[in-house]
Amino acid sequence: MRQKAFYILALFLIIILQTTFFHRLPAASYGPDLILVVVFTAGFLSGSQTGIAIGFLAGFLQGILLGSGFGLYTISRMLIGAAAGLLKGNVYKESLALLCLILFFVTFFHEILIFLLSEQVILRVGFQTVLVNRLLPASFYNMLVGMLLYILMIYLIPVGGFQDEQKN
Amino acid sequence: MDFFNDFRIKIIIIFLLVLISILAVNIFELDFYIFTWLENGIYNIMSPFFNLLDSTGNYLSGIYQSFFQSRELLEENQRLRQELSEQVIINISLNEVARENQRMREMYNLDSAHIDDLDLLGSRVTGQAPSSWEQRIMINKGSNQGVEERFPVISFNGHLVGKIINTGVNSSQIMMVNDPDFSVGARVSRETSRATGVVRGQPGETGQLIMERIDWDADIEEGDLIITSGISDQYPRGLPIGKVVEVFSDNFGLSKSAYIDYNLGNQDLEELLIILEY
Repeated sequence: MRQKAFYILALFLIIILQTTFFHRLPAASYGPDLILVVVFTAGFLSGSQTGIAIGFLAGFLQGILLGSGFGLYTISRMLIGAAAGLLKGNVYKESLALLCLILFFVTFFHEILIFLLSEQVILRVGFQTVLVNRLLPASFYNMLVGMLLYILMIYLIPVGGFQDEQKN
Repeated sequence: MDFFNDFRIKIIIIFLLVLISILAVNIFELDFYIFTWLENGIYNIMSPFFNLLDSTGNYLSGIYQSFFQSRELLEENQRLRQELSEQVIINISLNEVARENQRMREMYNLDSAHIDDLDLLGSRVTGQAPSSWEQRIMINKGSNQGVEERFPVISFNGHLVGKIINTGVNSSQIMMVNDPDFSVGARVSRETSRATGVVRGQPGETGQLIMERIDWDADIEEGDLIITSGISDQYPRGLPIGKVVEVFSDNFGLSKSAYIDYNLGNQDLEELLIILEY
């Protein structure tokens, strides 16, 4: 329960910062998408169930801020939360180099999902343009900044909090 | 088979049901009152935090400027005073032209929707929605101040910025002109051409909009100023949108399209004007 409260608090904080502050940072057009990092971290450390729940909340809140409510981001964040949960137990949480790589591909996959599901984008821009101008730089940038948040989160997470709370 | 135990099957079924529901709501554009109520409630709870953070940021920035940038501020103040006195002189002559124009319009019974007739409300930008695919920003004025959905929004120099898409009690969301979902009727503002088309946002950070559905033989060229046409009744006519940077043939030569430089980076937007009535 403490873990879930921690993730929800972290999510609210990141959404407020992402909305009011991060767009002033250099390379703001490429992100960083730290909401995605929180969802990934929740799924990776606490399992798919928590990942899906935090993903749903993150996507729903983001949808509200985009004026679209239950939308594309609710689906994409839930999928990322579920996928991150599958890594739990297979990758050490301290394997930072490997996690860097994973975070890069998670961001890449998420951006592709948004691209494929946005009719106004997919019908009007070529994939190659999006790949070079958007997907690769955004994934790289999110990997760099996202890892800092991940490290911060694993140090701040409540003591003994790496056990999955689900009783299966 | 252990993987598919009862607990996991339940989670997978719930997950799939939620996914299907969300897809159905979006594909069939279903509008449930409870969802709208929930969305508005959460938005109204969160927006004071954005306004508070923005006010704190501005306060700190003000302190920083007063301590470390006083010299620059004094110089800027002096420059602005000089510009103001020049503008006063220009304004006097423009007023003369406007009065003459008004007399002419009355003589010829012309309808006169003019930028001076707009009922405007000033607002501050408090945040940007957390997605770089969509271009949406938030402001600190909402339904309490009379803001409603679809109201057009302009910058302080009169350029079209976007339209209101959602309102909270004391804040609203704006879809900007460079959002891929945005579109507005537009025309060329040149004495010898009134070519019309539809201006839409472009995905990605191109810094350009696209004007489509221009007649194949329309007179449009690089450097032309593009303004709102006012055909749709959602925007007053004559609001500047941007300048043409490239014209090209489209639809196998059946029409033309043009790239428009709108020169409106999000970073520069701090204060905006909402058009309440026109």
